[in-house]
Amino acid sequence: MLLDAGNLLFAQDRQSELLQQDIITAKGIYEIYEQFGYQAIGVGPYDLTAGLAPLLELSGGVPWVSSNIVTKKGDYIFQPWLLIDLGQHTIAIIALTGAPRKMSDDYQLLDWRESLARVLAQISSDADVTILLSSLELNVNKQIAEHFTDIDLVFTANRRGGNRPPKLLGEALVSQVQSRGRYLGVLTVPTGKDYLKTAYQNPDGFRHRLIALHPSLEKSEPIDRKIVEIQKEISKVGKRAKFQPVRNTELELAPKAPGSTTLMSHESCVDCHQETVANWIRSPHGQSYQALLDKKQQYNLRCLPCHVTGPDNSAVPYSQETLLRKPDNRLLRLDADLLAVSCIACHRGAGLHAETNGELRYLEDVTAELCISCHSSERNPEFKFVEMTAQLPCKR
Amino acid sequence: MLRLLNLLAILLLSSSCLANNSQDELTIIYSNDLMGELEPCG
Repeated sequence: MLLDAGNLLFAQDRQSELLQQDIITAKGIYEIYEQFGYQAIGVGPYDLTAGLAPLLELSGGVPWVSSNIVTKKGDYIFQPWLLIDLGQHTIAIIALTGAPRKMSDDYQLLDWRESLARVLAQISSDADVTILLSSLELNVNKQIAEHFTDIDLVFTANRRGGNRPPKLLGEALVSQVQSRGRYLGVLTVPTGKDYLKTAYQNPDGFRHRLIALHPSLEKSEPIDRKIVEIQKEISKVGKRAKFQPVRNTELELAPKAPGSTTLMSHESCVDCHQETVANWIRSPHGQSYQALLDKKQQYNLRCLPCHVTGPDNSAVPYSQETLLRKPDNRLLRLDADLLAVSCIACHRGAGLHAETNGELRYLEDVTAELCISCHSSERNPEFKFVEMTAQLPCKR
Repeated sequence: MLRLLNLLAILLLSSSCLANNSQDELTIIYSNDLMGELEPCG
């Protein structure tokens, strides 16, 4: 049985300029999950980022389950539960959706106690195993496991929770895997209520393992083709945005600083720092945009923030953190010399340093906090600040 | 980030798990918080 506990489709729980691109990706992911044969997906708060409509359109082979999302009149919007026959056993799937940061007017979330009482009354007598897919807070999941003894397994979607091997809380095993598709969990339990609960008391009563989804694993051609298809669609959207007329607000947000438009790029540094710049050009930072070109991802607004230098051509650089939180179409229209992670992306103060021909020598330290805005544990789990910065060619 | 490319492993695994699901056991493969990530950028 294949299940997903939620927060499948979107990275943010608020809409952004990436919405059109993200919806294309979301549809592709859902189609891929259908191909994989997933049997249920819990609706997570991040799945509601684009509103209800995209989810309701994605109603094909894999049902969305939520026992607590209802209309204003109290009618269920998604499947409140599923009963799946596997061999001689019936498996019940229920789901609880956590509150998104911003809710729209076309639904409400019922209290989890009320939701559980309602659905469990409907299904408990029919199910041999009852599974909850929950994107509620960890402490709430703990309460649920302890008080609703009809629930046998809880798979959670808590994006900061990391890998959590099955742990007995109350009378339920509770587990999740790390976010962003790095792991799958595999849990084997005995079926039948009598066996299930006693098995949990025994450390050998169930089997569990994590599968690390490493890039070296064998690839799937049909999935490869699907991903290429999705990326082409994203590129089309990005290309159209690149060549759209620039809005006046964009111009207002990006005032030009005194001096050349190359103030922000390595061109401003090369006269005094020739060798350093030469080393940088060959480095991953210097080649960061080429890496996108190689993967045909140069129009992908999700990728660009960490592969270019921000467009705010002022002495205070447009921070990478801001770019990541609010990537926008200006990233598609940068001058060529900003198409890399240039000096000023890391060296705060370099703009003024260059403007004063090196007289103003103060540069802020490069900190781990700055680096991990792009080299986050999610994107780059192997990143070690001290080791990696020691290897930077621009330090030589 | 997602290794959807590698989820052939799921297909293989789920096939073998389904084959091994006995009357007395249930095997569940589970995931969460994909957050819309499809492929590494570069």
